[in-house]
Amino acid sequence: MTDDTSHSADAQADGVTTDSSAAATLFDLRTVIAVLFGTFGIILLIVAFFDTTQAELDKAGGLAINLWTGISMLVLSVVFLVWVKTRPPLAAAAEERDTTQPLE
Amino acid sequence: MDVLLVATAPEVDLRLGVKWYDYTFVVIYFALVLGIGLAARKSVASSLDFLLSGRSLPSWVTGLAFISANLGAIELIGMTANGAQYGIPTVHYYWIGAIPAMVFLGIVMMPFYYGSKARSVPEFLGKRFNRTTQRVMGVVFALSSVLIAGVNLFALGLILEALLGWSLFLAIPVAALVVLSYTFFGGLSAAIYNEVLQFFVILALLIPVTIAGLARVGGYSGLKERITAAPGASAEQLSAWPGTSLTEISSNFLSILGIVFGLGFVLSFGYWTTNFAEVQRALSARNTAAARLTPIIGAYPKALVALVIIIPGMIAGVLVPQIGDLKAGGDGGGATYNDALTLLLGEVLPNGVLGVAIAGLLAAFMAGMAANISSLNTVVTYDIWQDWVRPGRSDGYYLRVGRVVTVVGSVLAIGTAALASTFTNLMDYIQALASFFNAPLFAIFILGLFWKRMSPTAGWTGLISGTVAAVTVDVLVRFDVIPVSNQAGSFIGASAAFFVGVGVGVLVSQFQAPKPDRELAGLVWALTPRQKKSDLALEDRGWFRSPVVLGGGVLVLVAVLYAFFW
Repeated sequence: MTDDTSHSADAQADGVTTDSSAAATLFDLRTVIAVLFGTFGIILLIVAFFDTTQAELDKAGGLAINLWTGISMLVLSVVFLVWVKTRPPLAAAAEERDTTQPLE
Repeated sequence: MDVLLVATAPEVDLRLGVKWYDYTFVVIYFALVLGIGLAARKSVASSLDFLLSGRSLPSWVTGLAFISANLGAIELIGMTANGAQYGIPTVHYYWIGAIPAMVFLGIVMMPFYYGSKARSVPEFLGKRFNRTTQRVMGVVFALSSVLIAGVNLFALGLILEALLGWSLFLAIPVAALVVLSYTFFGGLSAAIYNEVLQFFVILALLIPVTIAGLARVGGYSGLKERITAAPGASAEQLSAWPGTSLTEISSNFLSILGIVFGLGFVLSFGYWTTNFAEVQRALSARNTAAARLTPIIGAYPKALVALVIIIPGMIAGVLVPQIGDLKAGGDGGGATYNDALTLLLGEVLPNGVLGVAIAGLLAAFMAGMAANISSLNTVVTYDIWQDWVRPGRSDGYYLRVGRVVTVVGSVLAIGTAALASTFTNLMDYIQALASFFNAPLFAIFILGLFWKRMSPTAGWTGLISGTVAAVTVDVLVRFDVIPVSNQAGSFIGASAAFFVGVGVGVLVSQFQAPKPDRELAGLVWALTPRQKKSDLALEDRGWFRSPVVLGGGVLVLVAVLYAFFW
């Protein structure tokens, strides 16, 4: 390795600034997932109520797939939102700064 | 033997009955993915950030990304094709062909990888053996990445063809452009964030289609009845062992041996313990403890996702007329087993969830190709460019190189996609590639890890000789000199590569001095101190975070699953 890369590797080994910024951006991921599935769930429920034909129900052996999938997605979305609320990004980043061991 | 069909203009109409609102799911999903790519760009300050996420991610993210990188379009299309064609024996690819290796990677090998601070698998080999080995492996890996990225692209092309009726010539470059756009800006971070997102979207595809399909055939018992009653059926479709339909080895004992040793040990360990696309996700974890947990956390969904991939494949064999025809020995009206999943979607899903499913398929494609491109990036930038071709430049230079490689790799993948289109069952192609590339690597890796006497030159000679052995076996199988199925041929080829690689490694080491102990500290088993509990950070202790406990847990899960499908 050249001096340049070992320098940047050492800067990363310290890890503190990268940890907090990466962690903060990262935990937004749970919110993103919640938003995605919340939106999908709502759209599916709308489709389930307004555009389901008997032929479509028969394809799935009588199960209202749009309805059930829509509900499951909303539940998942809520689960992720609860997770983000109970372990919020900033607190998690602070906790990591206190207890994260430096890279060995 | 395979009949080589070129899948450009099929006579069967694969187009799904898509309505306008199905597209909203796809559009929303794409907007989010590109948004993540652009947002991740802000956190990319160095080449280490671009290529290894700055080594800062927590284990649930790296764990899900680890499994998602593997859950690409190849996996979905290839494994449902296998499920349609072979039935339950396909589970071997998961329960014996992945889980044990993932556990081994987490418990045994991660401390070496992560502790060596190597930024790639070739670099690790460079430290263990010598520069030549690093370079040989770098080139071989770059080649295999481009080939496999091409398969993902081709699989995506199939989907777009089914969806929009686009010809593959249009679909493939467009698809390449999408992946290119977010990996170019965000590097590995964007790829990983998207992989976690993709994992959930892929589940949103697989779970509804499995449930809908099972409801339609009358539950799992109904499925079993219909499979047994179908023309061209055999009892082997419904039980995992001895798996002779999968291997086409008529002796039960040899079939089991082929599966357990060839697939379960050599191919499986060879892939999971050395494939950089996977290892890279673990290397981006925030510390050794998290890196060790990454593959083990990923093993749990991997074991369970087998069910929602293989069962739809089996259902397709029963519900989709073209696939049923193929199983009965007909020509399927131009369809191949690769079409099993897309045809099943049209068969059981209503509009609405169909749109979600299509978004899921696109997500799967992107997961696979992005993983290949990002690991291709790292290997070409560090192992080939920086350590060999143009050393000593600034980090900004290598960051730019990384971006150029992203573009070039994507373009080359378009070419290899055309090559992939000549195979009727993608899994045959993939397993063959695995036997060429992964098995020899695993041989020298494992020998080098546990035998410190293995000399530097033994590294690359073992690698090359193993590859030659695998290619030879493949040729012999294709010309029917060895009369087994193509996939069994890969198991045999992988075993051959392993033994030849180890044999040559041992032989060459007799003629050269080994590296001194101080250079091998931390790189071989005998010279690495065990990590003690007290070395762990506070938050990483606790029995439920122990790799050994969690690893044991997933092995128990697999045993239970096997018991159900024996």
